[in-house]
Amino acid sequence: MSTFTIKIAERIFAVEAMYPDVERLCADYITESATPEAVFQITEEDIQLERRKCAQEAIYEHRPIPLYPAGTLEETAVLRKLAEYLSRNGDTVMHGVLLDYHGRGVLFTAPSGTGKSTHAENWRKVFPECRIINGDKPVIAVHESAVTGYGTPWAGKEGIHVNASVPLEAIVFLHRSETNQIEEISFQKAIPMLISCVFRSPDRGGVKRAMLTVSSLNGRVKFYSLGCTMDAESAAVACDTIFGGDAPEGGG
Amino acid sequence: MSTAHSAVDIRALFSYTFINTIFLTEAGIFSMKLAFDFEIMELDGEWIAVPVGDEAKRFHGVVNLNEVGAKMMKHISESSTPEEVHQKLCMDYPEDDPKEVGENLCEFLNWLVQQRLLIP
Repeated sequence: MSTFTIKIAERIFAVEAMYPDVERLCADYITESATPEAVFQITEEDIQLERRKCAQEAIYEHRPIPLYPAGTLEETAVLRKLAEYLSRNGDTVMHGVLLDYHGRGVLFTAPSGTGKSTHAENWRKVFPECRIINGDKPVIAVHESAVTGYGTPWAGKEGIHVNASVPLEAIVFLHRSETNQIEEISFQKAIPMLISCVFRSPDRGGVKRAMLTVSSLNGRVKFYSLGCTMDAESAAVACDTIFGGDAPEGGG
Repeated sequence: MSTAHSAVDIRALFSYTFINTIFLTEAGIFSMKLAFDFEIMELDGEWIAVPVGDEAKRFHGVVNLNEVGAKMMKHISESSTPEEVHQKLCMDYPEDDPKEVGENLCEFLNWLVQQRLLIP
C-alpha cells in the first residue's frame, strides 16, 4: 500500500495505491501539502477495469492483447480517476504533446503512431531552447481569459515530462504528408478532432462534459492542420506560421 | 403479413423509394436501431453526434450533422421504424411536403446504413 499527495495543474490530490509503481511515476509531482481536494483510492476493481479496457482496445485494433503487470495498470487507473475528476471540475486531460516555445504553448495531437513525438523532437532539434512539457497526456485548464497547459507524469513511451505549465496558444492537428504544409482552421473544422483528443468517460454525462470543454476552447486558442514529413524542416514550417518564426522579446 | 417481403412490398409499406438493405423482424415489421447511443449537441452552430457507451471506441470519430440531420438522428434514436421518424419530422416541419421529408429521411437512413451506424 502506498499513500502520497501530488500537485498537478495547481490542484492537490491524495493517492492511495496498492502498488509502488504509481508513486515512483509521480515522483516529480509529490507534495507535502496536507489538504487534497480529492482522494484517488485504487481498488482491485479499478485495476481489472484497466485490464479489460486494454484487452478491448487491442481487440478493436486487431493486435495481441497485452499483459501488463498490475502496478502498470494501476498507473493508468490513477490517470483515469484524475481525468474524470478534472472533467467534472472545468479542466481536462488531452492526448497530445505539449510544447513550450519561449513561454508560449502549443499542443500537437493526432492518432497514436502518426508522429507527434517525432515532430516534437524535430522542434527540439531546430529550436533547442524549447522544451516538451508533456509527451502524451497534459492537463489543459480553461480559465476566463486564457488556457494553460500543465505537465503530468503520464507522458507516453518516451516518458518526457516536466512539472511545469505554459499558456496554450495553439492546438495543431497532425497528419503525415509528402510535404510540410500548415494552415489555420476554424473551430468548426477542429471540433471532430478536438472531441477525439479530449478525455471523456463513456457515459452520456462524460460525453457532454467533453463537448462543453471543447466548446470552451473556441476563441481562446488557434487551431491548425499540419501535414508534415518526419524531418526537422517540419518544425520550422510549423513555427513560422504558429509563432511567426520569432521568439517574443524577453520570452523564455 | 408474409415475412419474405420483396423490395416492392417494402415500398408499399413506406410510400417512398427506400433503402437497399432490408430490416425485417420475424413479424415482418420494418425496424431499425442505431449501432451506438449518441449524444447530440450544437457547438458554435455545428451539430455533432458523439457516440456514448463502452462500445463507442469501435466508432472512431463523430458524426457531423446540420440542424435537420440532428433532428433526424434524435428521432431515429427514439423510434423503431422509419414511419415513426417520418411522422415526427412532419410534425417538426408542418409546412414541408411530406413526400420531400420522406425522401430526405430515406437519403439519411441510406447514409447511416452505409456508415454502419444503423442496424436491424
